Amino acid sequence: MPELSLVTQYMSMNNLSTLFNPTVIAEWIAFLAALRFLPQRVGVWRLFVLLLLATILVETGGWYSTYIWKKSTNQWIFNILMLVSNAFWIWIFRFAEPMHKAGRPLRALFTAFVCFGLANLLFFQGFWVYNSYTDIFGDLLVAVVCCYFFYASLQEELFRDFLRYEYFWLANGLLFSSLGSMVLYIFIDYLYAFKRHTQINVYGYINYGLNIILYGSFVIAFICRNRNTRSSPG
Amino acid sequence: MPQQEYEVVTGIVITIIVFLMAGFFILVLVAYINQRKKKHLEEKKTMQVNFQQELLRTQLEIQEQTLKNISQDIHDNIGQVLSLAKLNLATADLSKADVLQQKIEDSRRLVAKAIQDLRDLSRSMNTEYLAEMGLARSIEYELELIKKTGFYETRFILAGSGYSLGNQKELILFRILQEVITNIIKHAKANLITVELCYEPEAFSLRVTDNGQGFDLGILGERQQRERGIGIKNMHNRAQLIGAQFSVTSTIQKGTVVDVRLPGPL
Repeated sequence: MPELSLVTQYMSMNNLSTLFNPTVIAEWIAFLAALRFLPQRVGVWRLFVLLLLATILVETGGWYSTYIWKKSTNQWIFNILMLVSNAFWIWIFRFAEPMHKAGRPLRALFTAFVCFGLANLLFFQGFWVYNSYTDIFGDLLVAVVCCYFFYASLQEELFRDFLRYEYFWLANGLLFSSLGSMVLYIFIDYLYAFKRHTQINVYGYINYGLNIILYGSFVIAFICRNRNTRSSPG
Repeated sequence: MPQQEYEVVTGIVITIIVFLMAGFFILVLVAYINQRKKKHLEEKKTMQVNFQQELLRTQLEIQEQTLKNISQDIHDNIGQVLSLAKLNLATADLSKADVLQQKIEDSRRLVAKAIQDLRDLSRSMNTEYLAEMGLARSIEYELELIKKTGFYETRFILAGSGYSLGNQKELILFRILQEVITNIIKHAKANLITVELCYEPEAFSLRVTDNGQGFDLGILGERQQRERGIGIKNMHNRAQLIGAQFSVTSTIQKGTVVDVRLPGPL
């Protein structure tokens, strides 16, 4: 059926524009920046390469599943990614110098989030619906961790130039992203309904904006991490 | 229905903007506090450098004062004693055995005294003697030296059980005391100097009192005013460096009281 195949190919090409939306472009830029600026010496920050690769693969897989395979839902893969990425963001703050004394509370938050996320995934919202409760809870915890990080940084005896401090940029991006996403996912049903009725993708626009802030901050954080872990000459 | 939906979505967007502004406010606040912290740390560093410089200057001044005291002591005391011993021996008449015996005995006593004075001097030449002896003993020794000149009667009163204020604070307090005593010798025309050290759990105080002519900065001549003013200001600044309160009270024809108070260990 050559005609059908041509139509399918045309539709696939047309759908490519849905794959390369601002969020995915920002993710690609962040991933390439991670590859460029996060060599072996940056320690646990190297895991950002894996996380961003996983994010891009999930975005692509989700798109392929929806537009090529025509599957009704691709939410399960995003649920797992969201669980992993939020847990990672809480966990990585353990390595920030100002947070060295906050190891126990961070472990508690990390454990609470993972338990809540797994329970929601297995027993409540399940695999096939986007786990918005987990996302909201994760955003709340990430925002708390970021605010605590700022507080702990200001309590330190020494002065830090925040503009050159990678964890500051990480916290900066995550704080904005989590505060915005929290409200976004609380009202996600209204926004989807609004899109269905009016074809105006308010959710999409806000999400794009938040992701650009998030991944933009990541890129700056990667550059700072690279500079701060570079060994001094001589 | 669509109108209602628009209103709800507008509300949601406004809520998101408010949340983002809250985040922005947090960042601005953090940046502001961080800048203040930077300024505060810079000021603290400058103060530490000033403190170290002042401490060094104080040490040098104490050494200088000590050398002056030693020089004076050698000239006025040891020199005199040894001259007397020399004179005794030079005028000894070998034919009169009983007088000779007495002169040798006197010379032996004078030489022993000179040796003892030299021992005291050698102890005070050690620049670490303040740290080794402690503040109270150092002040007592300083007063002994002044008393030896024969021009002054001195009293030393120690109240409470002594505790260490730390080498740096004691050094500066000692230097303030030296400066007060120098002022008394130069200007006060006193014959009695009293030093009181009071060690209380809440506060430490050092009080130097003289029975001299006293002064009133208002009626002193311009030069005297400048000299006294600078001297008092120096002592005041030094006291401030160690967190002490400094005060001078003077009454014409009755004398002057200098008080330095520091918070105690409690």
